[in-house]
Amino acid sequence: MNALLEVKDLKVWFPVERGVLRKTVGHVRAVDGVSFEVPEGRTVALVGESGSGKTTVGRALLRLIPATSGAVSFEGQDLFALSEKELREVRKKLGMVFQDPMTSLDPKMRVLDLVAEGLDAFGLVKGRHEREEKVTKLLERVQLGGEHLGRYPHEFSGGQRQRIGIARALAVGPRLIVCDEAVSALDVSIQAQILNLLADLQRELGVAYLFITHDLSVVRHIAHEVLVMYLGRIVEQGPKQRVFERPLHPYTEALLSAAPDLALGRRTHLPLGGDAPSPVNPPSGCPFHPRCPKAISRCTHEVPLPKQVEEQTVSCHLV
Amino acid sequence: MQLLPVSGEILGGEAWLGERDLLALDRRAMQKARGREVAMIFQDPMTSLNPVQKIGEQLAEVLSIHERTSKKASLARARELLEKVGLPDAEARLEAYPHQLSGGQKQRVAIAMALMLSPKVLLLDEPTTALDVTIQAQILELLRALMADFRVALLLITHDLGVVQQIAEHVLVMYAGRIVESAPREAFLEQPLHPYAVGLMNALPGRAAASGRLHEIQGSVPSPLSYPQGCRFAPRCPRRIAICDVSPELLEKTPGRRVACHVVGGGA
Repeated sequence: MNALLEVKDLKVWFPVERGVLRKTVGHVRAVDGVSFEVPEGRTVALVGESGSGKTTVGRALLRLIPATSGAVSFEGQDLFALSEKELREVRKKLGMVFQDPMTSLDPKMRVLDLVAEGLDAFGLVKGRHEREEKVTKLLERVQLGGEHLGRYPHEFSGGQRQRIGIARALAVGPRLIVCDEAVSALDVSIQAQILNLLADLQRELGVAYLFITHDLSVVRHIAHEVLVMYLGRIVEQGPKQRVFERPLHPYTEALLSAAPDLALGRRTHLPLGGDAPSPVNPPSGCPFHPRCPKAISRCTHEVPLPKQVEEQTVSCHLV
Repeated sequence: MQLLPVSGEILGGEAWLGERDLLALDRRAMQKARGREVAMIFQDPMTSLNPVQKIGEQLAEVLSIHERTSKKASLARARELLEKVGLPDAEARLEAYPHQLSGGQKQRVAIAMALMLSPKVLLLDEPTTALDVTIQAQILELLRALMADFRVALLLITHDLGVVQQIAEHVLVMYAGRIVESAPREAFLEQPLHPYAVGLMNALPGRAAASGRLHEIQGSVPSPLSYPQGCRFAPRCPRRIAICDVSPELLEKTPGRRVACHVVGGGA
């Protein structure tokens, strides 16, 4: 399968500045060497807790924030090497859907203009009639009627707003949509509607998703591939089935056992002690070792390198 | 708790805690009851913590104001409770400010504060919703232990059925301002009865049909300004019949189990 998106050793460090001269005294290593691929028409889930850097990965690869180093290629083009003008062209094929649709929907704009924004920017429609027709089609695609064209974002429910957000992302015909906690703010019943919609769109249009989320039950439902992030690094990755059935990294294992899963009737055991450490001052060796129930002395000073175990890749000394 | 904004008015009903109707208490009596009878934990612990006061002082203040305990004794009690809620290095934390703690630690402090006066009931509003799953598991574990330790009852408000499964003994399901089902946890999770509860359970990812599609509940929750007449779930209900234009009562279906539904409910 062809890689639509390829991320290689991506690093995003934010400087920590102190004093009147704003001297850099350290770095927050939000993303610290992340590599993965998103194949055409597939869903890759990027899982992690708050502070793991998962959102930063999404933003950096869309060039919404600058990366410190690394390479991202999309359809074979190096995104970080593109000029602003060239990047604009590529943006047509890259969409983004956020957790809270209100953060991406201008409250003073009508739905028609919101959904058409991308079409206008790229000059994809000519004339009022064609514009309205195209937007109506897009709204129908996300199961909203054309009668909503003249309404404003506040007149919609959370689920409907997320549909508008998806219609916006779809307008320019993307090949990849980065969904950052796209269903996390929705009620379970509405979440199901949106997940079904995303699955339908993938089947019909062949669009790929990079699905950034902390919710493992959603991952289990929607993902083909899973990437587990901890403190700026990917600690485990592999096909969904494998990762859920046989997690190899102790953190993945803890995450799975901490997540209540009604469908399986599983209950919590082995809750992980402590909190995730700060990315300003990450622990030496394996970043997970202070919380790891299986840590050995080697884990405290030696960073584990990724190892291939059948279809999974895992960074742990014990594997 | 009588903590509604001025625009919210209690039109009727009673809330008995032991021998007393909390809703009949005047402002002063209610103030006394808060903390001592019922204490509350919020989704965001900063709702109850003062950002510019040391944690030890905040906790001790509860005792010195309500019980006129000496400062020294209050601080000792504060320390004891911080240890009970599993805050590492409790002694040193007395001198810390809330922003120096992580989200999970702040929630532990809020829980310690709520327990300062040994209330009979803890009211928890989405206490783990803002926390990561591994931290959520820690807090639920803590609540389970405290229930036994302090002999305190929990009224937990949540949208998360996973949390329900982990900690609840009895479940009340609300829809559009009314309780539509009341059941022991095991029975409920095994087989919810009200069509809304059934829909909710089936919509969970992980319960997808063989086709891979999730079950949806059509439509969305009605606005409180325009609730439907009769059963408020009827417009979205797959099992709606003619009589659903009349509001169903919450009636006993089997012992310990009540449902408000004309089709599957106690009266049916």
